[in-house]
Amino acid sequence: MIEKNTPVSAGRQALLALCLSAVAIPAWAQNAAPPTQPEVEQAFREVIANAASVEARSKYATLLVRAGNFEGGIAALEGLLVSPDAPASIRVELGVLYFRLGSYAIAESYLRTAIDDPRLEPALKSQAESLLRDVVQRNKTSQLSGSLMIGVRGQSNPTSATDNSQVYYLGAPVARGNDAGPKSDMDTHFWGKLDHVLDLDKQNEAAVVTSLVAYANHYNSVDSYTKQVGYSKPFDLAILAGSTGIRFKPMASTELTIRPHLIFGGAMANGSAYFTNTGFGIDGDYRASDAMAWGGAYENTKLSFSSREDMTNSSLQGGTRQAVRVNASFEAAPGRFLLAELGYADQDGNAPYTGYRGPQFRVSYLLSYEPPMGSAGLPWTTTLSANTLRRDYRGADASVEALTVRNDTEWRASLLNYMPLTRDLALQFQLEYSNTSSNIPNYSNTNTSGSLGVIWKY
Amino acid sequence: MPPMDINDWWLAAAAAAATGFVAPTATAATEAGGQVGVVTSVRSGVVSAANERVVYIGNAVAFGERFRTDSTGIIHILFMDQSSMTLGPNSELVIDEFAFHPKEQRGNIAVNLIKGSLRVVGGFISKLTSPKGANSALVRTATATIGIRGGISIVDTQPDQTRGTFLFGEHMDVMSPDGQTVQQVTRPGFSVIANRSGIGSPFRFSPADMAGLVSQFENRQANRSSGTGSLISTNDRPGGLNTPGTSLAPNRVQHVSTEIRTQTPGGSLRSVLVNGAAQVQS
Repeated sequence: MIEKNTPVSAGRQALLALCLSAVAIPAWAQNAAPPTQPEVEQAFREVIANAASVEARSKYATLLVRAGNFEGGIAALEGLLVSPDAPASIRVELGVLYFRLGSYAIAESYLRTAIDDPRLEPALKSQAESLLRDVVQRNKTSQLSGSLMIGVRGQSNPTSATDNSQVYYLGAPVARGNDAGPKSDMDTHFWGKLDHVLDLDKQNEAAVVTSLVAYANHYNSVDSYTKQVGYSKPFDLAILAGSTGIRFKPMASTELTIRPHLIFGGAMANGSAYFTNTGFGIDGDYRASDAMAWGGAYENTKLSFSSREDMTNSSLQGGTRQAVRVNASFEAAPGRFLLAELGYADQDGNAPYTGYRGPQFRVSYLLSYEPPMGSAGLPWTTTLSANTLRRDYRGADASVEALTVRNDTEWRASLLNYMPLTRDLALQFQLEYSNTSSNIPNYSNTNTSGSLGVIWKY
Repeated sequence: MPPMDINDWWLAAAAAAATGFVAPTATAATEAGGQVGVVTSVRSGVVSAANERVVYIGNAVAFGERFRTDSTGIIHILFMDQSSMTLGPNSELVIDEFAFHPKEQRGNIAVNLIKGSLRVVGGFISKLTSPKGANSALVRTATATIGIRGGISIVDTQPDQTRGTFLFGEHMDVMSPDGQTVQQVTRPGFSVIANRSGIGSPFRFSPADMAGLVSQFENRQANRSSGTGSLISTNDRPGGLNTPGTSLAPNRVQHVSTEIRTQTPGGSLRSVLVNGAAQVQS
């Protein structure tokens, strides 16, 4: 029990002791299991019994945070700021806790004050600055973010040419021409993403959310563009696609957000118009807890291909496509995420043999870990994904086999490694293998690809 | 004011036994004057108004007690339901109501902020849901009543105006003095102003303004201690501050889900290309 001389001296003594005992805090926090409610209540009773005890107050705050009661931890820690002896790190703690609660304005306030405090240790200041960058972005009414990537990729079969030596033509099996088989190739590509959120400052968190994707590549084998019939090399592509819509919470008391949106896009192949894609959709997210989220989307788009001499019946490949998906995302442990997605697509097709329907399933596991080298303390991330889909076409293609309606099953597995060099710059490496089996040999194929890219995030 | 029930005052009893505070007996606890909390931090310039008693750390906070701060005074009170309140400088506060029955999951807390500023972090009471509806911690002022449901808010009042700023929780209700709900704030960082002519719409409170608001509850005259050791707020998230979006943010799972779907050109392009000509596989 401290001597009650003056209120100020009592507070200073208490908090000075807190500073001295700060090294003890991590000792409690190192326990893996969160504390039980009786443990928290016991710690609370100890504070009530002896409010001047720094040990008791520190233990109480720590147990609350470890129990996931960030609000309670905030209550305990904010009281410490009454004293001039409050450690500079307390405001960082409060900034982090408010961030974890999603209260970004006050998180920014505490972090800025902490960073301005000359007493803050350099290492902690650097971490606080890292968090502040994120917080400032979230507090902006107009939030712009994205990434640019330049990379190289090698593929064993970029045109999805069949591996089979015999294919069907007008209903009869024929030998596949040597030029029509798989040919490996390399390309250099540019890939950009731009996301913009315009917060409308409403209680339902309404915001205009716009996403743009741009892509362009060039294959080594393509030295000039031609529209000759029978072109068998891969196409150089240039694509711009995006969506825009208003995201909002339809019910204030839940963590459900939905976004009705418009979809648009277009592509060029070998320098000439290839297709346009327009439509509408609605997507949504529901955060069941900090560790579990559900999502879903419905899209209805119209795909229109341009008539081209180098693509047989290209205009018939378009049509209306409807797609629906549900996905679940789960944080198994800090830095470990498991994601599963189930979808179904239905494209009517401008001709029976270009229309199809079928399900798709994908599962991914993402793991973040300490980098084996350098990386300024930024974790590396490895993502393993497996994907399968089925396509049942609506009708037979008489130019191939009039009596057989095509169906394909595709399997795809990939490994992606993301390696930050700085906070803004990273290397990304990906290996992928795909296998498509079809009841018509013309469409069975495999492809293996490897790519390496440099990514700049902004 | 509803009477307090000693049957649920085990926390108070534990506190009293340990602090030497006169233990509230069954009779005493039903009267004004029973302990409702404890002073956990105080800066000079705080008195308990009934007898002008200077307030110290560890003092029991009594039912019906009135606190007054001068231009330097700040007081932080921890209540028996684990709520806390911080009274800023030049403020005056009366503990109007407090009853907490943890076993029966009921209770109520209400204070009268006569002037100045008050930060409220709701405890168990503000999170209870009874057959009558959801509980709130109530802060009454001359121009409004603020109901804080399971969260954190700052209320500051002047003779002709009250401002409630919602920092976290389910919601903050801003009501006219007669108790009619007029505005509900559900989004952190938004404020509502009530004055004699009515209650305004919620508006965003900028981080810069927020800094000024919270600074009145702090002592910025820092001494030398800096604090060492790891952060307790990130202890379950090693390295979390380096990647806050995927380690600490409440929406990190959704963020990762979106990232995985769009992190490679191939994945995104397949959804754009749909079922284009075979030559353009990516």
